[in-house]
Amino acid sequence: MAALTDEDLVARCKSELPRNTRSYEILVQRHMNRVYSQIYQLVSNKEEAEDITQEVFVKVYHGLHKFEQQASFSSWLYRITANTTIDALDKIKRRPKTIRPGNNRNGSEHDEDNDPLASQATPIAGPEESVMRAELRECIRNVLQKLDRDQARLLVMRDLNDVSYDEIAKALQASLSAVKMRIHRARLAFQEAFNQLCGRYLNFTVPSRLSPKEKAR
Amino acid sequence: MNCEELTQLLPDLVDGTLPDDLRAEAEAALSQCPDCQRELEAARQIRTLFAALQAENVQLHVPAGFEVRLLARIHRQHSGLELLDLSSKTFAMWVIELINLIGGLVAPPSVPGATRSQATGA
Repeated sequence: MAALTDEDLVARCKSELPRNTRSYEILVQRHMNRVYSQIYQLVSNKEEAEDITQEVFVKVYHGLHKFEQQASFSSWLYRITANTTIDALDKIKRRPKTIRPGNNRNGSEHDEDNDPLASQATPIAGPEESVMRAELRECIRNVLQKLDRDQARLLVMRDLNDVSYDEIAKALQASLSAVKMRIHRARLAFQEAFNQLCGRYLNFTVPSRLSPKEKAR
Repeated sequence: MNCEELTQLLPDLVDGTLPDDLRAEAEAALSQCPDCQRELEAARQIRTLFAALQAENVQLHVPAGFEVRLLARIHRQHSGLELLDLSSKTFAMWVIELINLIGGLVAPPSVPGATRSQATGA
């Protein structure tokens, strides 16, 4: 028997939940690692990433009956992921930082012990580079929080979660050309804020011709 | 191709999603639009920055037991909602009883004469 598509599973969930969670569990198993990876990229902490991933799938559970499948399930899921992650960044920032023994020299919350990026992806990275990378990620989080929420969401969906322009347009029920230009403006706004907040990491010196009004659009 | 038309194509130029002929035309037009060039460069830098962040990130796996914890969380929420629902029903019944009680206390006492006259009228 051919594997059920996401859309088949969504249809089943609508008739089965909350009595039977089997189809929902298959959807979760199919997407949980990707959602978790995307969240971890920004929060850099195992517990926070799991908590936010759970929150995403709880929202999916409660939202499935309203999901009308105009966009694919995955683009809907990644829209929820982007929104939930951006909301969570505020909470993470407000949370007091705890400096643990053996942690980064600057007390960064980056989960170095549990960080697969440190152990798997870049085995040659030295301690200086690891610290720099953690600081850069924190800076990127700050820039995303400084942006208009819609711009932050679009950037996370397109440039971090790799959702296509077409899928984003469907998920947001907007025209393709409008979505492309909104993402373009979001990149320019990000670049400008990045220059201000994180200029020490990368030397970005490209001015933008957009007026402040246009940037907020 | 003027600057306005070129600007519309910048997102696809950044992502490399333009057909070859249109890409060649757009690239040729770039030299006539310094603003477009700067924006293209800026947007490419941001795309590259995020791509680097992604490249660092091998496919991670959720910690073991994730699904069990997720379902437990959903179950807890359901139980909480049911309890809330139950308590709100109980509360509503209590309020109705209270209103009836107060209504009984403040209602004017029955007048024997009135009853008699009603009985007579009947």
